[in-house]
Amino acid sequence: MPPYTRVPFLQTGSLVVGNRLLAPEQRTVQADPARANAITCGHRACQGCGEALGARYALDAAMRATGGDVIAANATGCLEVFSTPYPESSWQLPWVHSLFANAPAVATGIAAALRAKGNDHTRVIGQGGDGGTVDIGFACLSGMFERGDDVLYICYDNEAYMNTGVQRSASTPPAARTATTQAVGPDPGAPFGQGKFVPLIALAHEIPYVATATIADLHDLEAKVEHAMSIRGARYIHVYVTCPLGFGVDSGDSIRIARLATETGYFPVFEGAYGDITGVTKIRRKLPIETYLKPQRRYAHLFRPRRRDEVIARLQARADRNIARFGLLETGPQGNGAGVTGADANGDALGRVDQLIEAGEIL
Amino acid sequence: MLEIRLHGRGGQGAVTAAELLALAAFSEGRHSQAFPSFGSERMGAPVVSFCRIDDRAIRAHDPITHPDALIVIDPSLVHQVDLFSGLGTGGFVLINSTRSLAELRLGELAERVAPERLRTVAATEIAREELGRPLPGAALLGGFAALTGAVGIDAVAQAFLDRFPGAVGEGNARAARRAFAAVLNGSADGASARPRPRPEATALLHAGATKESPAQAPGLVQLEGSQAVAEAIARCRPEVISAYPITPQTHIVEGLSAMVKAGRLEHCEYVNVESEFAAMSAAIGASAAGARAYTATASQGLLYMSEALYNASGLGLPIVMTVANRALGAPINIWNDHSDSMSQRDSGWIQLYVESNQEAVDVHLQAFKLAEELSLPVMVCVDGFVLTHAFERVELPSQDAVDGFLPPYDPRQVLDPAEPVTMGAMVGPEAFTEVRYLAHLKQMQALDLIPEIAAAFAQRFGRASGGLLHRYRTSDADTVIVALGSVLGTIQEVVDELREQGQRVGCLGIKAFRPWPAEEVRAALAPARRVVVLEKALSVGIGGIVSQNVHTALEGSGGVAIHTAIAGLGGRPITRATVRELVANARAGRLPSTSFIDLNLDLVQRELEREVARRRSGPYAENMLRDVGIVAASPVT
Repeated sequence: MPPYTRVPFLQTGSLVVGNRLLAPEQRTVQADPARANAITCGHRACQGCGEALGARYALDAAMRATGGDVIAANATGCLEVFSTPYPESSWQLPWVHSLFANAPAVATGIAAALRAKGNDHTRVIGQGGDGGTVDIGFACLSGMFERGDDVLYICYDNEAYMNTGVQRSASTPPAARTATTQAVGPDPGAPFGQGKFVPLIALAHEIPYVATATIADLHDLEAKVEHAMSIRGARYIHVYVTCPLGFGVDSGDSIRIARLATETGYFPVFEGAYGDITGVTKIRRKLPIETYLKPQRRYAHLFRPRRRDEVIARLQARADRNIARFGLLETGPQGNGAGVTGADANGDALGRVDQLIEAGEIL
Repeated sequence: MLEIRLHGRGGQGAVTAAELLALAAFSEGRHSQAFPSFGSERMGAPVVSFCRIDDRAIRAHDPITHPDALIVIDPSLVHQVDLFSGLGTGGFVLINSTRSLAELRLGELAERVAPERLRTVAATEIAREELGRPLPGAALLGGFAALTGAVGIDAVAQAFLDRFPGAVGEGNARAARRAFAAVLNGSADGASARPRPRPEATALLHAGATKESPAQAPGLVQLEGSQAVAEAIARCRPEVISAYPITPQTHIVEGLSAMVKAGRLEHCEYVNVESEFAAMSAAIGASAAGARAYTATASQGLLYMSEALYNASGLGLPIVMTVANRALGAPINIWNDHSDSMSQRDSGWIQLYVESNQEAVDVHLQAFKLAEELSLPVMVCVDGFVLTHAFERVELPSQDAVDGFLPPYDPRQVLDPAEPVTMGAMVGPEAFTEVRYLAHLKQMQALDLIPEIAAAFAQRFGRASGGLLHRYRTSDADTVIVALGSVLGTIQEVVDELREQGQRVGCLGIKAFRPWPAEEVRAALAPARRVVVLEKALSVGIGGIVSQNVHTALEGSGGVAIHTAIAGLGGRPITRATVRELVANARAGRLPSTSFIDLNLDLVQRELEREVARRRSGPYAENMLRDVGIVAASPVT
C-alpha cells in the first residue's frame, strides 16, 4: 500500500474508509464488485437514509461471511416499507416480513425449522428499527436472546418512529423534538430520565455477542457483522443510523452526524460477550455535545429563540457519563479485531486522519 | 350408563381415583369417562370429580348432576357440601370413614338411600397400613367394586399397578383388595355390616352392546383429551412446535414436550416461547421456512396472538393450532365457552370444532392435510376442560397409517437461499382486493376439500370424523338444535330421549364454522320449522354469532323460526335438563328470539338497582359474587 499518498478520505466521510490504503482482504465488502447487493438499488428510501446504508452494509457483510446463505426476517418499519412496495422487492436474499413486533420470534421459528431439517449452514438474521426492537418487539427480542436461538438480530436505531412520522420511541434521547414530544412548553422535546439503551440489556442476557456500530464507521459495522456470523447463538448488533427527516439534517450530513454522535460520546461504540464488555472504540478527539446537537433541527429549540445552557449541560453530562462508563477516552484494548476500528487497521493512515481533523478537512 | 360422582379435597386424589376407576372399566372392555370439576382448586378445598361407565360409546359431557353412585373421599365434607344432591333412592354411597353410619349423623340424607347401598370403609387407615401414606383412592375403588360390582377388583388393582409402577402400585393394589374384601365380608375394616355386591349397578350398563377390549385393538387407549391430542400431533410429525402455557391447553404442549425431550418425536424442534404472540410468530417463521409447524392456545392467549393469526392466514402459511376453548375476560374465567375462537372467526383461519376426544384426534390429522393442500392455517377447536381434561377412551392411529394419510409437507412457498423470495411485501390498493379475494376463494375451496378429506379418512381409518356438519336425526325433524363442540353429545342424548316420546327433534352439529357451509346448513335445516342455535359465545350488542350465520344460510326460506339461546358461558354446565327445557320451550312457542339460558335475573337486577342507587357502585363482578355468596363479605349497598 502507498503509505504516504495523501488521500482525501471523502468518499463516505468516514474515518476508516481509506479502503485503498488497506490490503485487499481488509477492504470493505462494498468495494467488492461481486458483493451480494442484498438490498439492491431502486428502493424508495429517502435520500441520505442511514438505515438503508447500514442495512446494505450489514447484510452484504453477512452474505459474504456465509457465501450468500442467509434468510432475513424483517420487522415492520421504514426498512420494510421502502424495500418492498408491491410488486417490487429490493431483497436479493430470502426475506420475510410478518409484523411490527415479532421479527425476533419469526427469526426464531426460521432457525428452528432449519435445525429440524438438519440444515446447519443457512443462517438467520432478524432486523428492525428502534421501534420494532426496543419498544414493541422487545419481549420477542428478549425471548430470542434468553433461549439462545441461533439468530443475529440487527437494530437500526434512528431514535424515533420515523416511518409513521417521527414519534417518540424508548430510544428517543432527552430534549429531542418528535411529533409526540414537541418543542413546546417549559420543557420542550423528550423528557430526561426516560428511555433505555438496549445494547446493555442485550449484554445482560449473557449472549455470546453484542456490539454497537454506526454508519460513520461502516467498515467496523461490516467487521462486526462478519464476526457475528462466525459464531452461533443469539447475537445482537445495534447500529446508530441517521434519519435526515426525523433528525432534521441535510441528506448529505447523515454520516457526519453519526460520526459526531461517537466523537462526542453521545453514542458509545463497543463490543461485548457473555455479559462483559470486551472492547470499545476510542474517541480520537472528544468534541463538545453541542457540535452534535447544533446541526439537528430536532434540537433547534435548545439554541433558538434562546440558548438553553442548562439542557445542553445535561446532555453534555450524559455524554460524559458514557465516556467515563465505557472508557471511551482511555488508552486500552480496542475492539476485538472483529470490529476493526480503523486505528488498528492502519495506524499510519489514521495518524494522518488526526491531522486532517486538526486541519479541518474532515467534519 | 352408570354415573359416579366423587367428593374429596384437593390433594386427596379425587381426580386420580375417577381416572383409575375409568381405566379399570376400560380394561374390562367398557366405555368410560372421567373428568374433574374444573377449576383452580387448592390443597384442602372441596373437589368433585366424575366417572361414567357404559357398554356403548359415551356421548354426554355434562357434569353429573344425577349420580347413580357417590364416593365420598373426605367424610368431613358430609355436612359442608350438598353431597347427596341429585342422588336417587336407588343410588349407591360409599363413604371413607372409620365411623359407623350412625356416628356420621347423616340424618335424613341417609334416608334417601337404601340402607344396603350405603356403606363406609376405613380407606385412609387401610392406605396408611398398606401404602404408608393416607391416600384412600385405591381402597375406595376396591370398596366400590365390592359395593356395586360395576368393575372387577382385579381390574381396579391392575389400574393402580399400571399407573404407579413398583411399591406404590403394589401398596395401592393391596389396599384395593383389602377394602374389597372388607366391604364384601364385613371385616373389621368395613365399619358397617352385611355387605354384598349389588348387581343393580351393572344393570345400568347397556348390556349386550359390543365390548371391545384394549387387548383386541392395539391403538385403543384410555387417555386424557390433551394427551390424546398430543399423541395425534406427534403422529403428524411436526417439525417445529412453539409452546406457551395457558389453561386449559397446557397439557397438550406438556405432552409434546416430553415426547421431544425423550427422543420419541424426532426431527422436531420444541421452542418454549415467551408469549402466545411469539408462539404464533415462531410458527409463522417455521412454516415460512418450510417446516410443519404446530402450536396450541386458549382464551387470552388466542387474543394475544390475534395480530399474528391474521398474518399467518394472510401469508398463506399452513400452521395447525389447537384452541382449547375457554372464555375471555374480564372478568377472568378459565372455564369453557367459545368466546375465544369465535372472536377470531374473521381471522382467515379455517375453524374446525370437534365433539369428542376421538374426533379431536382424528380431526388434527385431517387438519394438517387440509392446511397443507390449501396453504391456509387451520384452527382445531376443542372444548377446554370438558374435552381436554376428560379421561376417555380413544383409538390412536398407528404411525404407519398416519404416514400413509399425511405425506410430508411440500410447501408452496419457502424461504430458501437457493431461490430467494420476498414474503410479506407491502400491497397497496392496486392489488389488495385481489389478494383478499383469493384468500376467500381458497377458504371456500375448503368446503369441497373438508368432506373429501373426511371421506378419505373414513376409508383409511374406518371411522367417521370431521366433515362440515354432523346431522343427527334431522331428516324429518321439525325442531333442530344447532350447536358446536362437546355439547353435541349431550344434545344427542336428549334428542334420543325425546324421539322415544315421539317428538321430531334433531341436532345439527357445525363441524366447520369457517368456511361457513351455508348451502349444507340450508339443506340440513330444510325440514325444520324451529331452529334453536345453542351458542357458547355472546356477541355483545347483538347476541348470537352462530345464529347470524344460520340466518345467512336460511335467507329467503320462509316459515322457519330461528332462536338464539346463549348458554354455557364461562363454564356454566349445559346439562341434559337444560337441553330438555330448551326444546320444550321452543316447541311450546315460549322461546324469544334471543334468550340467555339459566340466567339468574335476580342477581342482575340487584346489581342494576345498586347502580341506580349509588354512583360509585363498585366493580360489578365482585358485587355479584358477593351476592351469590362466594365472597364472604357483606354486599355493597
